[in-house]
This record gives sequence, C-alpha cells and structure tokens, in this order.
Amino acid sequence: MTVDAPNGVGTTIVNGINDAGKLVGFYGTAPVNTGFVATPVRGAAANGNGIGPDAHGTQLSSGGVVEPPIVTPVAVEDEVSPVTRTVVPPSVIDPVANTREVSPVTRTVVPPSTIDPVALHRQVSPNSTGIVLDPPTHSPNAANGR
Amino acid sequence: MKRAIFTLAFALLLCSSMFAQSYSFKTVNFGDPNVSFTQLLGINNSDVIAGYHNFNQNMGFTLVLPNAFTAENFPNSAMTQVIGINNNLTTDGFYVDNAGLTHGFVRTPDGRFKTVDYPGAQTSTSFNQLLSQNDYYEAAGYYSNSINNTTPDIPYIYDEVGGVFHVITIPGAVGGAQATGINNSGVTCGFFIDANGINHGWLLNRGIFMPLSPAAPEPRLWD
Repeated sequence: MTVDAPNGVGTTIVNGINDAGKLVGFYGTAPVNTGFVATPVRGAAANGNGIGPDAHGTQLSSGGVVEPPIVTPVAVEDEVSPVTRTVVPPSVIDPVANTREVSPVTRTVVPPSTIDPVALHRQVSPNSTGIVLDPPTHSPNAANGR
Repeated sequence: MKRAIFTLAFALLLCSSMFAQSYSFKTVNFGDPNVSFTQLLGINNSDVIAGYHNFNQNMGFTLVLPNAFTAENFPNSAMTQVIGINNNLTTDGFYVDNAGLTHGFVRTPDGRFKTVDYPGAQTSTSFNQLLSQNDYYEAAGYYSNSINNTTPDIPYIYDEVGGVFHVITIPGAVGGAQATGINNSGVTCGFFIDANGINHGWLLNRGIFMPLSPAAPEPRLWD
C-alpha cells in the first residue's frame, strides 16, 4: 500500500516504523519539509480514502491515501525461489546474534579473536555467487569503550 | 474460464480489503511551520522519535510528542542527524565534523557519544553513516571511500559490543548499496543500485538474501 501525508505537497517519505505500526517521515520539497507521525486507526473500517478519526482530536482532510498492496503473493513466491537465493550459514552472518540473550548484562559475546576466518569466507556452494559477508573488521574505536 | 477469472478478481478484492489500513496524521514542525525544515527518521515502541531540523545546518533531536524536543548533536560537530532510536533510547546517525568529514555515531542512553567509522576509511576521504539501531547493540549503515560520497556505498552491520563490522557484499550492486534497517531478530534490509542505475530493495534474513521489488520479479543478477 502507499501512504501519503494529507495535504502533502511534493514527496512523502516514510522513514521509520515501530512495533505498533506507527510511521514517521516527512513531506514537502526542500528546503521546506514537514515531519509527520502516522498512527494506524484501530477498529476503523477503511472508507476508501484511508482517512480515519485523528488520534489527536482534529478532523483530517482528505489525502491520506491507502491503496491495495502492489505486491502479490505470487510475486513474493517468485522472490524467494530457491533458484535465486543464496544461503549463507547463519554462523557466518552474525556470530553475536547466535549467542545473545535478552539481558545485556548476561549477554555472551564471541570475542572477535575467536571468529574463525575460514568460516567467515565459507559459502554454501563453490558455485554460489550470492551474498558474501566479508571478514569482520574491528573498529579501533571499540578500544575506547562506551 | 469466466468463473475462474471472477473468482480471482473476488479474491484480489478480498485481499485488498484485508490489507487496507487507515492512518491518522499529525504534522510536526520545529519552529515556524512556514519556513521549517523538519524530518522525522526513526521511532521506537514508546513513540520517542529521532530526527533533525534546519536545512542549512542540520541539527539533531529526539522528540516526545506532541512537542518536547531535546537537542542531540555530536559534540563540536558542524551538523548532526539522528536517525535510529531503539527501545532503550540508544540512538545512532551521523555527524559532519568541522573539516567536512561525515562520521557515523552511536549515543548511549546516558548521553555518551561514540564515533563509528569503518576501519581504513578513517582518512580524509572517508564517509560513514549509521541508519538503524536495534535493541541488541547492532546498527545498520554503510561507508564510502570518498569524502563527498561519490564512490559506491558499502553496507555493513556494526556490532557495538565487540566493535565488529560485518560488511555485506552484494553481487550486482555496481552502483553501491546501503543497509538501512535492522530489527531485533537481526533481519537487515536496505537497497542496492544495479549496473543500470536501478535501485532494488533487499532483505537479509539469517543468511538468506532476497532482492525485493514491489512491481515485478527481480532479474537474476548473479546467475
């Protein structure tokens, strides 16, 4: 679906979304841009123009556009075809993520020195030409700590 | 045949209704609405927003609605944009120093800033930006080896605990690529530019890479 800010002139850009589905972005043409927060309207049936009651108590004008999704299930199926995707072992992608825990205090981190450089270069198939993660590089800034 | 077409059309109509979603919009301006330049770039689950204002001299902020702005600028920087914000109020983004160099940064909830530059790119021709921050000390961003970002961007995931950069090399990304988002599952998204200058979205989910395009199936860029 597309989301355009009501009365927005120029480009509308959506930059962020939280777990509640609330969107942030901006519209307009530089050097004049206006930020916006778009809140999903719960329980409001779509009325064709995508406008629902304003959570902040004001009546919205028309322009909040909600359109049917462009992506069809068929297209998505095509995207995830095993023929086109390349699998890299998860351990290569994010060794930290594999060991992380919820609490940052108890979280286990793989010391950078223990990362197997061979594994980091490993690909699933010798013929694979898909995505490759380069060996991790350590930032000198890390020594400063935070 | 007609029946099949009718059924398909009905199914599409039904799907459209299921996906329909209404939004209420609230505009946000820093300062005079008539001259304001305000961009909102990130939002966490407590609705704390990251962004910046001022077209000519970008100034970062965090915002608690409706209008509680808190300035957030990298110390002694010329410009700052705050882009990512997580549920612990860690933020990231980039700043431009007084020599005109662009650096990534992370700011912890207690107010400490840290510069994040890809090693080897910390020269007079470096360019770094962090664009997303999850709750597990991981940021998504990119670097470029030209001061004005005129060389292809190279995406990475930055582990803030170990100071480790995971560079993501995407075959076919002749024009460069950026990692623009990372969630709490470590799923990373971004876009890349192919040899024809066309932008494509991408998703990296536990080692499985998918190019994304809403309009049509992607070409097989690396067959």
